[in-house]
Formats: sequence, C-alpha cells, structure tokens
Amino acid sequence: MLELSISELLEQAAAGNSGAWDEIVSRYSGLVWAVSRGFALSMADAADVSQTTWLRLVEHLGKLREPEHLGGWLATTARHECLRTLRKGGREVVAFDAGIDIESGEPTPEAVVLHDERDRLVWLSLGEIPQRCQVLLRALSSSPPPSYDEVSAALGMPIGSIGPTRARCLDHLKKRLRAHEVDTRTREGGA
Amino acid sequence: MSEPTTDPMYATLRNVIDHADPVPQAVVDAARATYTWRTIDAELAELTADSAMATAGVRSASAPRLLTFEGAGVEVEVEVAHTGSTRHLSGQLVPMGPAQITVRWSNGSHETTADDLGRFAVDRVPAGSVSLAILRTGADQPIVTSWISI
Repeated sequence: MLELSISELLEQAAAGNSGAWDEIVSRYSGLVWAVSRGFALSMADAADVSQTTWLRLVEHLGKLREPEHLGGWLATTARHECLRTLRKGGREVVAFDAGIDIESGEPTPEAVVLHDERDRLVWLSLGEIPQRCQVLLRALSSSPPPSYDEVSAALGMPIGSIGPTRARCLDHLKKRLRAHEVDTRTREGGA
Repeated sequence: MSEPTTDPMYATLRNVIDHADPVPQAVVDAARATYTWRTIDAELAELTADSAMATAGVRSASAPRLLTFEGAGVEVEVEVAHTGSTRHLSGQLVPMGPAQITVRWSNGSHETTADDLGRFAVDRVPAGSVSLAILRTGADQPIVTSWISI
C-alpha cells in the first residue's frame, strides 16, 4: 500500500477500507505526537490530543477540501487541540480513562534512561528552549520527515519563516548545550 | 525535507527524540481503532464556540465549560461540569424537540433522550474524547457532533 498517494488512501478509507486507514495512521501518528509533546503536554494529555485529532479525521473522511495536504490538516488540528487543552481550566491532568493504559504500560520519557550522557543532555536542553522552538524541532524530527507545509501547519507559521526560525531554534539548543558543557561542533560521543 | 539539513545536530536530535519519546504503541493502536467510529450517513455539527478558549481574564476556572455545535440546521449547546475524573453533561437542542441521544467516547457509549423542550443530561461520562449522536424524532438522518476532549 506504500505506493498509494495520501489522496488515494483517504478515498479508500472513506469507502470502508480499514487497511488504508491503518496506513494513514502509520504515516502521520509521529507528526501528531511530535506536535502534542512539543507543546509540553503530559503523556496523558498528548494521548488525548492524538485521539481527538484522529477522531476528527474519521468524521471528516471524504469531506477534506485538500486531501493531498492531510499532514498539514492533522498538524493544524493537533495544534488547536493542544491550545485548547492548555487553556482548559480546572482539569485533572492525570485523568485518562479513555481506554489507553499509558500510566501502567509505558515508561514515561522522564523515566527513560538515555545511556549516553551527551544524548541525555541534548534531551534536557530540548526541554529548556522556547516552546515554539520545541514544537518546531520536534515536528522537524518526526518520522517520516514532514514537509515544510506540515511543519508550517504545526506552528501556525508561514512557510517562509520556517528556515530562519529553525536556524534560530538550533542556536537556542546549542546555547543550552554549551551551558551544559557539551561540544556542539561534532557528533562524537552522541547519536 | 525540502532542503538539506546538513547540521549534524539534526541527526543527533532525531536519534535522541526517537529514544526518549517515541509514539507509544498504545497511542498508535488507539488511533487505528478510531476508525470504528466512522459514520457514513450522519450530518456533522461542528464546534462553533468553546468557553475554554475565552481569554484567561474572562473565564473562571471553576465555571462549567460551555460548548456549542452547529450543523444540519440544528444547534446543540452542552454544559460540561467536572465530577472527579468523570464529567456531567447537560444539553439543549435548538430548535427544541425530543430526540434519541447517544453519548460516545473512545471505548463506550451511553443512550439517553432529550425531552420535548430539547433538554438532556448525562452523568459519569469519562474524561477524554466525546461526541454526541443525535436522532431527532421524525428525522431520518442522525447528526453527530465534532469530537472534543472534555
């Protein structure tokens, strides 16, 4: 099914082909997750945003105006849901009983041990740069690599601004790394 | 990527994120499972107002959240109140009138009815993604509200 375009996959999913739906999820779950976690949502909230985003797509199957820009649509929907989650008042943040058992099954990123010290400091530094940069760098690093169109949607930022912003964000990250006394010029000891 | 990312820091970053915060398998599985909520014969009522999106100075954290959905000539107003980890929904259909209402969430649903004045209430809805399917008396097509996280 890898050879099908996203428009074809959407058409098939709208017609009842669940295999096409699974393929769409495989292609874009990384981007949706990257956006949610980039906004510094907890695991539970990020799972919630992901779920709502995919349910939104289910209800819009066959109704998207530009099916070829699905990635951008998903990134925009996820970003809006993140902002909604962040603005919601009085929410018990850990409550997540919508059928996904994350608390007991998966290690949280905070609990993940990065054996390489440099990797650990890169992860730490990523959490210390401006939020917008975290969203940008995480979206750019999602797998499969997103298009600029999709990254632009994830941030609500014009495509032309992404290149320069990306460079600034990388500088922020390197500054934090240098503060942790990590050499940012080579990959030695990391990756 | 539409231009090469030559800085080796990008490769490091991708590697670190892949290891530290991959998409949890449960999240991918849940995303696949959302397909079962596909409705082929329903009209969609989209979210048009959400008090949670009001600016911080205007809203109060303790006040119930108000949601408005509109579509297919119907307006659905829903008030969401917190009761521990579950939610209490009370709603109003405009124009007024009776209806069968199904509150749907990721792994379950609950049936109720709206009275002659279009009012309905549902208790103990789990926090998470929720949508209402509404079949008005005399209508042949249901209306579903856009999914929203409550």
